[in-house]
Amino acid sequence: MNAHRKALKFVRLLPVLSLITSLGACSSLGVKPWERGTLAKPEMALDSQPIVSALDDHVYFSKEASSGGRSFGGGGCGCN
Amino acid sequence: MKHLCQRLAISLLLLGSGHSFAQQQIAAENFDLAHYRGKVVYLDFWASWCTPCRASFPFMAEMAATHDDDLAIVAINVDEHRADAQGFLADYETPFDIVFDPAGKLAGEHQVPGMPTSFLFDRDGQLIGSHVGFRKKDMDKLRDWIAGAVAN
Repeated sequence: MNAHRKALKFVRLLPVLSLITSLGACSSLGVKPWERGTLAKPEMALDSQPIVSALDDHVYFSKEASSGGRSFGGGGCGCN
Repeated sequence: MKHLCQRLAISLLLLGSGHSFAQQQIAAENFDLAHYRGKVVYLDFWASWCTPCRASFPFMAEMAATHDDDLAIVAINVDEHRADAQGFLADYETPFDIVFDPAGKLAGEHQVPGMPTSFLFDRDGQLIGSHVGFRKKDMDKLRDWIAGAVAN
């Protein structure tokens, strides 16, 4: 009777255990540094005003002699 | 003289095909560091979408001219689409070997931490070090780094 209850308990935990172990797949998320080609495209920037942002970026780059900090896909270059 | 004739022949062939001067264009499967044994090797991972690479190419051409046969420069491209790489190459003189690694196999083997990354190998093929990124202010440091390896 006791062994039966223990077995049932284990069976109930099984879906939870399998969900937790499948989370291990998350360790392969993200792109490698050399795979950022598609992310580097301007259309991949998370931006609601691309034209305004582009003009602002140009002004910023001209004044600061540097760029970035906006929504790049990791920069796509050796900046970070 | 033979070297000159070879280079002339290659450049004439490539000019005819609309490409700028390159020593060799190699597929990733055919690339072997051992081919360059006896020379200091400067391995550079680049891509058409990598903005600092636009500054690194003239630098590498300068290094090729300065160190000539002591230094072998290999520029490994990681673009998924060959057309992107060819578009980039059309803008620059490339007196060094270009390897195409669209699958990222070589990049994975070298565990490239960022783009661009350059690796320096000595004449025995042993890794001296690596350098991530390319900024104008790094150029002198890189020149000294390469010159130091060539002098050894």
